[in-house]
Amino acid sequence: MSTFAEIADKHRAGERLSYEDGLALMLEPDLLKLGALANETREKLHGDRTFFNVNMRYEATNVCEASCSFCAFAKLEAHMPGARTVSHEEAWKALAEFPDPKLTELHMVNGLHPGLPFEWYEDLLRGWKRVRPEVHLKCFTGVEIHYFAEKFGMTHKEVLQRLQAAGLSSMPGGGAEIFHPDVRTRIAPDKATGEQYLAAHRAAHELGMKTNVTMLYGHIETFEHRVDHLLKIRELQDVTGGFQCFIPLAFHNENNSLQKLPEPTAIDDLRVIAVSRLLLDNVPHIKAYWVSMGMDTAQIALRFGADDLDGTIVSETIYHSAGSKVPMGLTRDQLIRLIREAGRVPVERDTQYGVVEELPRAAMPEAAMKVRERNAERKSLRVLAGASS
Amino acid sequence: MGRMLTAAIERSGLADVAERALLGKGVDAADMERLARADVLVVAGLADAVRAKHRGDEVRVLSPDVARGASDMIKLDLDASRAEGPTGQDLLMQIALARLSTPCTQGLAVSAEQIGLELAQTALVFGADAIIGDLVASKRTLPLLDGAQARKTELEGLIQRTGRTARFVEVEQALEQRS
Repeated sequence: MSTFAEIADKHRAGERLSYEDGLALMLEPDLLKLGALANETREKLHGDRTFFNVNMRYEATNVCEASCSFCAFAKLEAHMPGARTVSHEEAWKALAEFPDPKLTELHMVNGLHPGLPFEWYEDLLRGWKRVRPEVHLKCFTGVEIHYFAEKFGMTHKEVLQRLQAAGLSSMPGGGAEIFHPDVRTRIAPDKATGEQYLAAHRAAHELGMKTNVTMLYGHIETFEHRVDHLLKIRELQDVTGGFQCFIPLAFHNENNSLQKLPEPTAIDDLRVIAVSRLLLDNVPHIKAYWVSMGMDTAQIALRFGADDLDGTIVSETIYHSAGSKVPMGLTRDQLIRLIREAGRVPVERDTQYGVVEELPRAAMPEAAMKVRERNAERKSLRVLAGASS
Repeated sequence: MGRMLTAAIERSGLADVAERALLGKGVDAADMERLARADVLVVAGLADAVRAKHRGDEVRVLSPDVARGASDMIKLDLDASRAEGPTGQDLLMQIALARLSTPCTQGLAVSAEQIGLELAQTALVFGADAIIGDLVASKRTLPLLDGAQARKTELEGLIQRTGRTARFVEVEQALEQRS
């Protein structure tokens, strides 16, 4: 196995990292060194620019045929307590009355509802386009697209073409979990396989649609499975170039059947972000999804390879069902503050990374201001924060 | 210090500050001004190198009661009001700067209750070498294993994932006294 220094030299020389290199990086004990290398790449690609958007998350139904062991969101049958499927009118009203005029994206993922006809989804999209035509509809995971294809007897491409005609513009990355069958058959046995998920994304890319891609980590998978997953993404990206962003998703353990497992820690989150940035040399953006890893870790991840924090979200339910303690949404100003105080430049983007507004960076880092104040007041600099010994 | 960190410190023009910091006596106000303007990972790397050299890899876990009586460590009282208070990165920067400005005869403790367990864990690679936390008040990151033992297992795992070893001696003493 190569040393970290050898891998760093190889990466800096523009050589592609191998499976073995990825594994060595996953095992690298010096997290700061790993983060610094990933940060070099992040800054080479994006400088200090850090992206966010004003978006709205929506789940039209949590009724789901699949029985994924990590999921606390889905209800297996429509009559179960907590099962919910919105009406079209309710969904259209939610968008029509969304208070922020700067909204650029509606992000929707759903359960795999066995009772809804395909036309129900087409009508849902058409109605949204009627009430706010300017809002980009990023809807349906690769797993949903595959489910529709099987259930309604169409190819992935046919499903996507009909949804595109109804208003779909791009796909979110959810549902990737871990592609390797040794893990997938245990945690998500009855939905699209890794190959089928990737085939749905490939079809979207061939139609000119951009998509995101994810990885659910920190449950029963090994480092080998993680690296294998990342390289499968890289492989498809070499062919299509259609992935615009990779989003690592930390496993949460409440209200699901994997409650005995500890959750991944902040250190694991930062490691995954850094290794992803280094291995996915052909995916432009790495997202530190604040709902998944918490605001503190997401912010520091902006120094470990991430260049995007996701968006305002407004009302997230999938992670919150599994125990997430972060707010249901953040304001635009809160996101800007997180980015500025990380020493980065906030860039509000649309779904496809078009710039909506680039904002100025903070005049001086927060810590520097505190030190200056302490110096001016001639207070002890032993510690910046209050302390007792 | 490794090659990458040495190079990053040199690029930041902080080689002289690093030399003084590595003596473990705590740097002065002028050095602090320079450090506070530097890249957070460079400051963290230096704080971690100083911690490793002078304090070793052990992480002490103390209950708040026991921590009150511990005289060989600085206990950071960080503003964790969060809504309008400092962000996570700012808190980590403060922790790293605290390590660099404090003589290494003293340990550096953060409170998990104050800044959260995730940030307390991350603080261990930013110069901290002790965590103050109550084992009895479970955060339930292991929902099926409530109580002190689960909390201990959880903290032990968190610390091991930073490549360090946990020492619970003081907490065990406190638990014995309570029972």
